Amino acid sequence: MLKDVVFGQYYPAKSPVHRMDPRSKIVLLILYIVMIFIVKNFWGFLLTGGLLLATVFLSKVPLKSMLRSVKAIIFIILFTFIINIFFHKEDGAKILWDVWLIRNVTDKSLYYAIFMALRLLLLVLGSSILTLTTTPVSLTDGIESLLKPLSYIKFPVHELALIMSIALRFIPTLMEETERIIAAQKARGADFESGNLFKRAKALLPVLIPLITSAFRRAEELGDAMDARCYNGSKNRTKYKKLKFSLVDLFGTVLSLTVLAGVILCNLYLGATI
Amino acid sequence: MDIFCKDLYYQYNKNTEFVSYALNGVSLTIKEGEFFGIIGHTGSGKSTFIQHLNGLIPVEQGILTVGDYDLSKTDVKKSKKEKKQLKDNLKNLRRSVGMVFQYPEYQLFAETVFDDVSFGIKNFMPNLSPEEVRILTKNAIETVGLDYEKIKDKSPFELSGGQKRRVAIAGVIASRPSILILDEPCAGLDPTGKTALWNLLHSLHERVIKTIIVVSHDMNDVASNCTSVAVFNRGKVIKTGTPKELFSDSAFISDCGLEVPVTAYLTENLKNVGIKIDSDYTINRFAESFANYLKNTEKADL
Repeated sequence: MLKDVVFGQYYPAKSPVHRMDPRSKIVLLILYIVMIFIVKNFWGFLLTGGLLLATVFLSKVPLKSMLRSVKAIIFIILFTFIINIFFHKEDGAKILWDVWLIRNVTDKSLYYAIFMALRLLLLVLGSSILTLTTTPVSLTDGIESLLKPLSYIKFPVHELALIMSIALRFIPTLMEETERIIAAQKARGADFESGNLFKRAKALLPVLIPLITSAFRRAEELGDAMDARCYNGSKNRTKYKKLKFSLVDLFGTVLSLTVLAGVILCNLYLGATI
Repeated sequence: MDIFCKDLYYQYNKNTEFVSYALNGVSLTIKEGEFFGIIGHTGSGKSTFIQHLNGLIPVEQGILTVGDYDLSKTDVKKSKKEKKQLKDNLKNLRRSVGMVFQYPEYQLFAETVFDDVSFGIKNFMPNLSPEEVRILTKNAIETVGLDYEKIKDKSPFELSGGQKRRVAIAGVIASRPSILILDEPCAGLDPTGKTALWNLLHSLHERVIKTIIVVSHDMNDVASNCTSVAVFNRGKVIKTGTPKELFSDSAFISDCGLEVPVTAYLTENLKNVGIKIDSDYTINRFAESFANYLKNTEKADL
């Protein structure tokens, strides 16, 4: 049950998307996000959506896993949709519905709401493609490599990457621990499902306190273990896995740039919805 | 309360790419009054199985009854009233089937030992007066061999490892379960702590708790303490019997990825050199038989 909460989990498969250099995947994701935000009409979404679908298809990640990450934010999407459809005001809009509870719904606000919902949806799906096809380790490797230039101004890039990978590494462990503690407290009659919000929050204390103490204990143990092996992130540290820009990356970049050009053309010549 | 289960199945990560069978048709009967051992190598489904016994994992497929509680899967839709009834039943079941998880000291959370031990009592019996809660808590703390007055106001986090474990066990037995299930209760304890814990379990078994079920990796402990043993392998019970019946077949035990207890190992090796020792593989009985053998040979020599 808790496992669904994790935002995008790595899906092991052999695909061109999995093979891509994490650095190019991150950069292309940023490019993709930029595209989604500069899109002005539905034609642009057709293109970016096409890019997304092509990537999903190439990555061999089943749609089911993709949709799981949408499930986590479906509420936010619905919420923005509803807010937009009722409160988006624009000049010259034609009123579609204005009866009973459904007030002030215009054609413009309807378009706008659909537009925003699509934008959020594409955003989440695109990001989850990254986390679904990249292991956390290579993801942090990529981020570290991308942030490298910052180390010239004494920014602790390696340490930051290390913190990130440790944090990512411990998410499943702590998740498991949480489930175990919940089971243990349930066995002692703890009830997490009934009562009002305040009562439920209070019922979580017997879970949170052991969880936090165990997180500290693990942190200490890990620190000791790293110390015992003389770990340090000094300059001459080499990497086990070298990142390499290869043909797939080139292909991905060309494809994304083409779509970007397409989006810009759509914006220029096909009018704007918003 | 007897435990009866038949053809119990359970899958982890159901409906995903990572599906795996944890239980693959478990059939087992545990009679009231037993000191029951469950052995099996890592991943054989032991922990999943015991979590079925107090409803922490709902039965997916198969029959499971614990005393009067029927935990079997039913397809009949239930009304709201029935659901409420079911929930109350579950609470009662969890009260009667105490569960001590692996490293139970990591579940301690309260500010004082008293609060932690009384947590279960207050959950299961919300209508008790503070005085009644106090008596039950005091009993539990004393039963596990700790000094109530000294320890009740301490923080559970400042105790030693062995004491923490005792407090955690007190927190489970405080609500007077009739079945106590322990998952690897001795993991991480030193030999003295281990012996003390087994003695504690035996005294609980004699005085307050009818049935004790222990999951263990340590065959020596199982051979010396349990009345019956079930061997788990790949999500199935492949054999049940007394420790004597099981451990006399050392080939079978090592096939399951387990080791026979030292006593069984010695018995077999002695047999190979022509010395026949008959014991039930508990350390005491083995020592007795071996002493008898020595005495007899001495007499023969004379």
